[in-house]
Amino acid sequence: MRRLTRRISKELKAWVSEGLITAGQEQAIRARYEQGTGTSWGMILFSGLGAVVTGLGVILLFAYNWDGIPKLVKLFLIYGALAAAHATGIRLFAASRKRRVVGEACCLLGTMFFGAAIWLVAQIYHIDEHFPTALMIWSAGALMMAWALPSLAHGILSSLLIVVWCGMEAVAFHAPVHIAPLMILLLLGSLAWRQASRLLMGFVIPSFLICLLMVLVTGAGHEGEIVAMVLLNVSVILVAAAGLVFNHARASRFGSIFSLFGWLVFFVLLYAMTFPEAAEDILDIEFGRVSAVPMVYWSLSAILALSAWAWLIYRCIRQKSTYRIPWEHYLLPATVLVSMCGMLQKPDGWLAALPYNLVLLAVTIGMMMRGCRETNARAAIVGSIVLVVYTFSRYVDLFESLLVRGAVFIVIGIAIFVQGVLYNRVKKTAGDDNAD
Amino acid sequence: MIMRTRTKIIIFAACLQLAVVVFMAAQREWVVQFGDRVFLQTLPVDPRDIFRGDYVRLDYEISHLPRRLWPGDLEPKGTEEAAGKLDKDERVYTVLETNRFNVARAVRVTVSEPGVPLFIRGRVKHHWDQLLNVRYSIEALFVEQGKGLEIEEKRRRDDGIRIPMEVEVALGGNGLGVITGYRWSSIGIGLDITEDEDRNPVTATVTLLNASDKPLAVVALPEAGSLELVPDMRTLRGEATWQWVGRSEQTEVKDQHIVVLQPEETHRITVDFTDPAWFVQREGGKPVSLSTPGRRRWQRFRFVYNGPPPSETQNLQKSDIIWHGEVVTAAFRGARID
Repeated sequence: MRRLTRRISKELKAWVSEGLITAGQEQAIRARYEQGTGTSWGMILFSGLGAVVTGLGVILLFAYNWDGIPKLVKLFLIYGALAAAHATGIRLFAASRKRRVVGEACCLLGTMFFGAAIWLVAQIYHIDEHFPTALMIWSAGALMMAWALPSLAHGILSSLLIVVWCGMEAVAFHAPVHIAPLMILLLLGSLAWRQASRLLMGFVIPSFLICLLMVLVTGAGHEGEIVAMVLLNVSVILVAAAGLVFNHARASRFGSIFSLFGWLVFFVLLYAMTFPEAAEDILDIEFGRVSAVPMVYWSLSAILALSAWAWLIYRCIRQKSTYRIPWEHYLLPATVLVSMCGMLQKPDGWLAALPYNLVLLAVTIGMMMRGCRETNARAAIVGSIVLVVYTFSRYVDLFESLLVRGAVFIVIGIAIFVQGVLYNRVKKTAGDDNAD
Repeated sequence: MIMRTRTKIIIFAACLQLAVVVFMAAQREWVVQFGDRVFLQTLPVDPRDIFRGDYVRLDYEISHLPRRLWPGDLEPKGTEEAAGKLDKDERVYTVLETNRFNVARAVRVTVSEPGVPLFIRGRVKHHWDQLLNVRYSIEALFVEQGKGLEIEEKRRRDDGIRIPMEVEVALGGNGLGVITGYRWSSIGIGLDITEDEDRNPVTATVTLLNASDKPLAVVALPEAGSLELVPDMRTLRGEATWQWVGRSEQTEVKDQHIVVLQPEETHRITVDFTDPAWFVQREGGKPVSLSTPGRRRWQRFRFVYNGPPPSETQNLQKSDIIWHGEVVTAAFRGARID
């Protein structure tokens, strides 16, 4: 919003001098856009980072464990710092809208001191409890403040702490923390929704995916392949979610985030499955050996993925949404179904990988065509990049003859070149139409 | 009105953060101020915690509990299929008994809070047929940066002699243990083992060191009578235990047995494994030497020096400087010392 305001401000003078608008109209436009100039992101970033770094410094300072400082003095110092930071922050936050950002930063500092206090108390009393619990308590404190203020910075801190907590439990204790991804999705996702914050949602989705990955890897035991299947289903859910929120007043701003991470995970997994050995391995799941929990994750994610797509398709057919599903997107739920069949049939080698190769090719070609047709640069570029990467992979394992390899490269190169030409032509035509 | 309610919520959240850390400290400070204090013998195990700085990792004698300490309400879980009552992380309570030096020993282990004054609570770390490993959340001693290494170096010197550290722990009414300090044993102990060409242990030399800053006396009975050979509790899991045959009678302590050690002075006691007095046996089995090859060599043992009780030495010369404590060597298996 501030970028738009700055741009309009620059253009207004030119418009007045060219006689497009009057001076009075210029003032009216300025007044309209300079009201509520939105969040000062620079202030948030610098004050938030400053708070976090200061807090970490305090933690390290106490980690030095000065024997010279009496125990009670250390405790009062940190309690005092925590109370002072929060008191200052709350005072500023409540004082005026202008000071809210600084107030939030002070409260963030207070939450960092909260973390420092936990570690300090553990150090003073030589507490050797299950140490990830400290991260859980810290993240809970940050989550509380995130909702109370509300504060995006606290939300981001909380999501990072939950990820670290989940990671510590997984790595140090091989214990899956099933509640962690739920906490992120439900408690922080809902905060992002409530605050209509793309920034926070941009942290929530990858944090959720990372926690889910750690939980699955830790809990999957000998059948780690099921992790890939669950993540594939989740990626399909995310892409469906992008379509489902398209017409929602508040949630539509999250569509691009759901789409980004959904497609990212989908492409990574799909690409891996285009290799025969990987596809064969991943589909070769012994259901009898998979424990209950990963099976629940897989079943639930598959049901949700297919249900989400069914709902999206229903909404589009009944015209309850203006979202148009590109034809290549239908391949996502199809991949879920193909994977389910593959897990039952357990095909070998190229028979296992062939469906995924076809899906990848179809999706990328579809994206490239749509990119040209709708002058959607992102779709065109992503499709082209994925196609090139895919071609290089098949260069290594599919084609033996240099003649065939050369021919394929030429065809792909020409296709991308033609795409560029068509894209420009369509864009020019669209520009001419707008001018008319 | 809405803003005031919001402000109240924020204040509540901030106060809750403060309350959590105050409670953490207060709970333990209460134990430190009003709890019973005991000393716990440590076993050697110097890492650094990025958030809490230098710390010394501690392992205690009471962390490794042999089968005989479990009464009927604890059942062994030797195999995956066995229906046992103990799970990893399950809460247990170790009843303690102190000696004249206020050093505590484990007497028994229960799954419910015992109705005795001195006990410590912990959680099961590992569980085998003959051994229970318990964590008491007092396994780390945090020190100023750089001091961790100093402590480790003192615990295990370059000459191989270990000076045991005894950690002072305050015990709360619910068994919560809080480390309040530590002290060093006045006597350090070292172990050397000679082996034959087949790597069988032949002799063991136990070295006693006066680690204090004043003269101390130790008792050196003939034929290494001041030493005992015990199985290492940390490694007895499901295998049958080999026990030392023991001594049929104890030699009376006399003046000629007293050895006065000046600070940093040492005294050596040699044990011959081929001597039948140092054989080991299984329950109901024949005594055998640790020098001969066999499964007993897989089991770890340790030597224990036990100072005589004051009642046995009060009429002797130098009785005022005789050290009455107990000190244990590093564990050894065959000719290999840990």
